[in-house]
Amino acid sequence: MMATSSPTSPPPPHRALLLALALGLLGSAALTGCGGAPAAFSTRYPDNAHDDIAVLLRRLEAAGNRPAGTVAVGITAEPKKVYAVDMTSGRVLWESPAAATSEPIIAGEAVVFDTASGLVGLDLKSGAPRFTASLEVGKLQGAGGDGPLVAFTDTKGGGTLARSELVLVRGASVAWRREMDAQIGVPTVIGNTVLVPWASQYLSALDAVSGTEIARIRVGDGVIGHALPEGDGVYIGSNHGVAPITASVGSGQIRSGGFFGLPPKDLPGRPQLLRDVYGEAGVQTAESARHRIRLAWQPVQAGAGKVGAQDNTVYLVFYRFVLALDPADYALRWIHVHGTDIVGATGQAGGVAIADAKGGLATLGAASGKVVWQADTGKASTVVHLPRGGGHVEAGQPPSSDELREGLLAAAQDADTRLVPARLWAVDELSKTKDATATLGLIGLCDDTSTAAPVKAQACASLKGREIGADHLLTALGRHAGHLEGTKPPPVAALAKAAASLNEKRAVPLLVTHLADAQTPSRELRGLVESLAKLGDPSAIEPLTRFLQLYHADPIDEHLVGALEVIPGALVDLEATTSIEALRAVASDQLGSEPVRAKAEEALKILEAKKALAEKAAADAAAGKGGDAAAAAEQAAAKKPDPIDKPRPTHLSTEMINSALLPVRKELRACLTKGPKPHFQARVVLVIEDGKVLMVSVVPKELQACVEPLARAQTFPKTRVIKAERVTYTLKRK
Amino acid sequence: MQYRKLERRLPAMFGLAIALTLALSSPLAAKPPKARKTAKAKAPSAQVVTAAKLMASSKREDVEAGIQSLGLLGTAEATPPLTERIRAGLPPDLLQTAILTLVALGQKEAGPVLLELSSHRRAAVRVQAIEAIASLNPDGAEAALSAALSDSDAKVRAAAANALGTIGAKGALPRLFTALDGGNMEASGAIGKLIDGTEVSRLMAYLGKTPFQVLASALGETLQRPDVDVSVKLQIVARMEEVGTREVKAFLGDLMGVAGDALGQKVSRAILRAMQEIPD
Repeated sequence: MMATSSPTSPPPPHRALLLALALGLLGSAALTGCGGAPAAFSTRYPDNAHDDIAVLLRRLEAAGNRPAGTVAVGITAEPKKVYAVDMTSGRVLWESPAAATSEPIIAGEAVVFDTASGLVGLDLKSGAPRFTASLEVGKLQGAGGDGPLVAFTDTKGGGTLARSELVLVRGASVAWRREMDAQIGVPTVIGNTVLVPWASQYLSALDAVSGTEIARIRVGDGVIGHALPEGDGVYIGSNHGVAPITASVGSGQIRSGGFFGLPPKDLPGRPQLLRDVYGEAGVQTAESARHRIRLAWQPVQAGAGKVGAQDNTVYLVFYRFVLALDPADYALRWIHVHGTDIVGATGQAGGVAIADAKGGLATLGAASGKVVWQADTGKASTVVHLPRGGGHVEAGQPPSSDELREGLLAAAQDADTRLVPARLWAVDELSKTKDATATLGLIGLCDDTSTAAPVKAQACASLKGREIGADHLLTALGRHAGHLEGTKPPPVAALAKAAASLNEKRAVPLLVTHLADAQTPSRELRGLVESLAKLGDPSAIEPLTRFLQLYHADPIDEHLVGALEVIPGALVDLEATTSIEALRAVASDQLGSEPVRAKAEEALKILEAKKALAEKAAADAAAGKGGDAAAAAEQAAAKKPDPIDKPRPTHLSTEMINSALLPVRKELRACLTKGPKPHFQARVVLVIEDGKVLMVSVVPKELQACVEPLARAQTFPKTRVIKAERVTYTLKRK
Repeated sequence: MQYRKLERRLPAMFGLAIALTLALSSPLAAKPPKARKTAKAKAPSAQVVTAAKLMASSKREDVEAGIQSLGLLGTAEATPPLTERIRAGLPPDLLQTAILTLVALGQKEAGPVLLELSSHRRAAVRVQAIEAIASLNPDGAEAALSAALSDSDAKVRAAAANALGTIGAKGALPRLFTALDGGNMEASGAIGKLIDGTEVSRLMAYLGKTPFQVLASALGETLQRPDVDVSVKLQIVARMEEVGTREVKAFLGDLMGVAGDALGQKVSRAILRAMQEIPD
């Protein structure tokens, strides 16, 4: 329970203040409400008291480093059973029916899990029932233990409404309970000291015997949600990162010494270093998908006060994939594709231990990613909690680039749609691989119609950045769709863009052939045309011009129109002055597609300007004006010509008419009421050409004299329509 | 439907041209029409100049009238301006009219543009171009039609198979058999038109494995061909008798009704005997 505030403590929340006043009125009776035990988590308790921290550090040191456990515990699929496996032998030690509603947690010599009737503790080695304890406040938040001691926390609510409790079980019974009006984190027990994170910034150390608080750390530069006993010390931290408990942390700075965090970049599935205890309500259920998407790692002190990950690797588990990543930048070390969903993983010295949903256990080498050891428990499971030890891990040698590439390709090609985020990651990694075979793999992914759409899109996009593997691109481009041959069209646009990026001019004839091939899907044509323009080979001018002419009046589909729209620009890029006549014909063909004609007109103006400049330069040169004039002309020709007139709208719309008549709207409305007989509305027919009103016709006729001069006085937008446009405007009183 | 629409739009003579095209595109039309006088390099006539002007207009009606006037002109000199106009780009309905006009004009000079149109992005245009190629049989027809057997559109593939049979493209037989394997039923009729005695056994191998409906047209065509040896025909009839389904019996009955004496005495007798042997 909260007591009165102290100068060294943070300002109490509003509710706590009220409670403090109440407590003041009621005297110390409230304290006896906590079982008459000495208060813990009091706001009077000093933070970061040097002497207290020194005591805590001594107690932790005296407890010594705990050996890594070797027993794994899991929960089977229905019918639910809790079981334990000896990781040194792969042998199932015991199993016990259990209505577990949470994942199992190894806490000292016990395994604990939540049930509908409270927390259950079983003996880790035998499976014998050890204790049951009620969760008096809320949901199980976490548990930890050392030897016969088990500490667990439960909590409910958030902010000023939060309530939590810490419970210590010794042997078979609850030793004490402590409540607080704040959120609580995941506790642990080190020797005779219980460590409890709470209220985001605090870590309280309680004496396991008396339940009294003996030290309190408050950090101002981070979050404490977990207390983690590891082989080389005790760490505290949160999903943002961890640091060992040292004197510097005791001074209130978790990031001042060694602090281990991950890069801000999101990983597939956005797993966190540790569970966000203050953002999520309690431990995961036994069936949670979170067990299949997680990070496995182990903090270690890397010397010189630094903290890192064991083997400098974090392992991303994503359903059936395990990706070994550099914690500094997520550079991929290897990828393991497992046959079954992985429901448990723990970083160990030299590698990672995994457990799958069919009961398989395995360890993978930290450097090699190879399976070092495996066993089959036969226990189909929804979650397995693995220990740090087992003795079957060997880092091995890093995979060769070929092995890594094959692993990535296998992952990217996996047909499991749940794995798409990780497959995208694999494609991204593959695209960074600098060898031609990776290009071939990416082409395969881009080409395969069965590839999941996002993966395919990313593979296609990544081709553009490839610097090697042009021959594979050309081979792929050489393929055409054929019903008899059973061949499908390649991803022409993606391949074309890749070829253009590589400035691979050998692709030009292949692309031209695709342009003429009706079996090449029209959606590929725009990219194809743009690439031909980029490649800058004049041999593309004639086929592009022919294509534009043939189809400009036949907009078969939007993709074709899209391709036709970019051809005039491509001809400009190719400086196709020989196409001027064709462009002129297209631009003036009223049977042609409007947007295509507009683009042709723009290109025509540019090419004509270029041609005129070139002719002038040639004439100047012939007249002996010398190299300077020629060079100036060349420069002028190279310079982008003056911008073409702003593209005109295709036609006059109602909005444009409304807008043009807006300045006289009031007067026009007044016309409706001016006559001997008022009208509610009038129909105005306007004939407009090149922005000017040619004719105004008003019904009823008696309004003509009033409306016409007003309408004629306005300027209307010019459109692409060469002849006069007839538009109808309805004039209403309101 | 499209043909009928056009017929309503076009003058009577042009309608005749369409009728001619329809007739030529039929599988029964074995030979292409004789080409008319080929174009000579001389100044275009006034009618051609007028038609070209009309076709250069921005008005649909003018363009259509220009195309029709070239069709009505009916001379070789009408082809070049028409092919030029096609390449300059036409809306689909006018393109259809232009292709029909090219067929009506019957000039092999239309070949290159028709070959180009056989890979037009509009499948209906490809079908029309293929039928026109079958009608005119220009240089390069066999290669273009063989390629069209691999088209993604089933109607185009069918038209290509028919056309190969029509132009007598024996070189395309291997691809036609492949097309038959792929379910192109029209390939069957073309095979029947093109196959020679030595290859009949290959066709016979399909009997009993491929639906008889698919093979019927190949067998019918083969049995009616005067250039196929009687002994080969008798083998075919005997094999059909072995198959002995009601479908075969009905087919033989229909064949006797359609071909009659053209089958020859020996073949007719064999067919009658087979029909007696095959139970109802």
